[in-house]
Amino acid sequence: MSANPPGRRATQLAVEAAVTVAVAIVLFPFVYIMLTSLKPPNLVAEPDVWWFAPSFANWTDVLLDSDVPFNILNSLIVSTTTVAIALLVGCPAAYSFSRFKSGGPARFVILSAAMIPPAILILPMFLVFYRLGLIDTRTGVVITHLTLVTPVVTWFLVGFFDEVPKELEEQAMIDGWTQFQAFLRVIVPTVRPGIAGAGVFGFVLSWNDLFYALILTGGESRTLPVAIAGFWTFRGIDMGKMAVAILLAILPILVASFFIQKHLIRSLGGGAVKT
Amino acid sequence: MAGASLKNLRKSFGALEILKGIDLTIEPRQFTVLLGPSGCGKSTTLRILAGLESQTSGEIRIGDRDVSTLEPRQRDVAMVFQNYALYPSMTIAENMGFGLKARGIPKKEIRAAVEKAARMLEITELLDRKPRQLSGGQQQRVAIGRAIVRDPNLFLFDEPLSNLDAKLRVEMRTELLRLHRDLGATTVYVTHDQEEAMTMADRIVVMNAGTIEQTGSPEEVYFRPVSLMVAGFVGSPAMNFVRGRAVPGGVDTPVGRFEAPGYGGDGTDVVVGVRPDDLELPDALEPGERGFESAFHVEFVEMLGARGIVTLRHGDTRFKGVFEERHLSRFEEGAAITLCVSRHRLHVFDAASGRRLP
Repeated sequence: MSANPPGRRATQLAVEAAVTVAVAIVLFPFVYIMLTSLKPPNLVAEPDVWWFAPSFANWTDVLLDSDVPFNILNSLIVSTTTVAIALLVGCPAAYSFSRFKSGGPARFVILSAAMIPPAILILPMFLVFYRLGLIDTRTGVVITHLTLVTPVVTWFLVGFFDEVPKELEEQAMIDGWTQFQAFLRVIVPTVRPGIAGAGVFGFVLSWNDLFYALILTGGESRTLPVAIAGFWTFRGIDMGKMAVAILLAILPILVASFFIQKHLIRSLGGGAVKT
Repeated sequence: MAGASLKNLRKSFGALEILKGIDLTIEPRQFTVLLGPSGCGKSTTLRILAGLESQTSGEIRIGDRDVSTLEPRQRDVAMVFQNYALYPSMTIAENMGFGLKARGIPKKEIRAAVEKAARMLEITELLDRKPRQLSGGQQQRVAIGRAIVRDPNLFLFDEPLSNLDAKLRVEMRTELLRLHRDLGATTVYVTHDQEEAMTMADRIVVMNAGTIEQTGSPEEVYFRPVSLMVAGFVGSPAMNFVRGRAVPGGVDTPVGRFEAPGYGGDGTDVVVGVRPDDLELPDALEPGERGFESAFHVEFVEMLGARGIVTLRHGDTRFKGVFEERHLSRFEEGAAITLCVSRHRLHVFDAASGRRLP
């Protein structure tokens, strides 16, 4: 390694400055929402106030005196169930696309299933769910979310399965296992980082969905995004409480991405299955 | 230890015929090498033997069982792949014991078997690591160890050494031979490296374009190749060839006359083959023993250490010769030199069919 010439040092400084600016731009909305959530009720309507004595009134109102905790529970149940089912279906599907080339070009168009505008799907779904008594149930929301999450999860996983050498499964079959056992015991653990990544991806999609949940849930099964939208009432926007709910919505995603980012980066870098 | 046999084995991918009727008997305890250029069908043959690929027609027996339609797991074979195929999510010990686990063998016994194989291969200290923490050579040992632990009917190797560097490859070659001697395991080994085949095999099966060209001991394949293909493929540097016409008492070629009686002398087109090692300086051979003698131009000399490869030219024909270092001083680049070949070391092939003439 040669010593850094001055030119390179200047370039590095410029890059660091640019990154700092970018990070500031990205983080600004979060900081602003954080500040808003701490504003006392009389200042909430004033967006350009930056200095004030923080108040936790919004937090206590939302956490102790509203439906939001219940909405969070709904969201957690819906998103977790959606992701679990999507992975259960998506893993074998992706593996089959990758290994057996089944479905031919389907592996390339599978995402189009997720691209159909929800507005087209929602009317027939609403009518069918109405007949089945699934309106305002978590099951109904899960089903609609699966139309979106399953294709994305499957598409995401195909690439990971593509990277697993065929010999791994052949070796397992020679070692005395059936092809399905080889898939479960050798292939699935090998693409674990990909599965974690796909899971977080799918979780975020489901967790953030407003459209389906807004139309299908009224009371019992309300999810968090619907609750957030609910702070926009005919009397105006309750900015303080909305800010608290938004922060609560961001939190689990932040935590999840933190735990899997190591896996995700490693797997996207292709190091996951190199032996 | 069981043997194995293939009877009239055929394999087609669509219209493409990969194997055109392979008949082969693999003797128990022998080290059989399938040798051939890429695309000759040797790996396909091995994969069919393992059950990873299904044959289009033909019968496969391992031991006294017909395994033609059995799944890989039912055939009781172990295989070492070129890329080792270690399970990345498992430790080395788990990798090695995975085959025994499939058979429902108690954990304690698996551990004992794994440790025994690990001692044999000197990889005991690696047992708790993951594959990605190992070097290529260590991974190779683990892959071999995993095969040994299984104690299978048949060991299958698919170019296992080709991902290693040259030095390690020679080491592993010796190691594999030692293991083979110790275990006496029936082994089928696929390679395109003729040197590997020559050094390791009890029996070499030379394959070409989906058929078996020749089956025999390394000596037979080297000293009595049955066809031009085998003659050209086995041996390094490759055999020198020159086309000629069979005349009474010998063969007339552009580089001179080869005295090889008994080929009919009826004017048929033949190809004469001379191994680079068989080109001799005149003082090494009695005049009565010489089957060929001619003058060559020395084009250049490649020193390899104890030996050197000399590129020679006569007219438009180029020959390569291998000579010991102490003789190399007699080859001066640009100068002429007379060389000869023993009459017992000539190979004559029919030019049309490529088959050896008796």
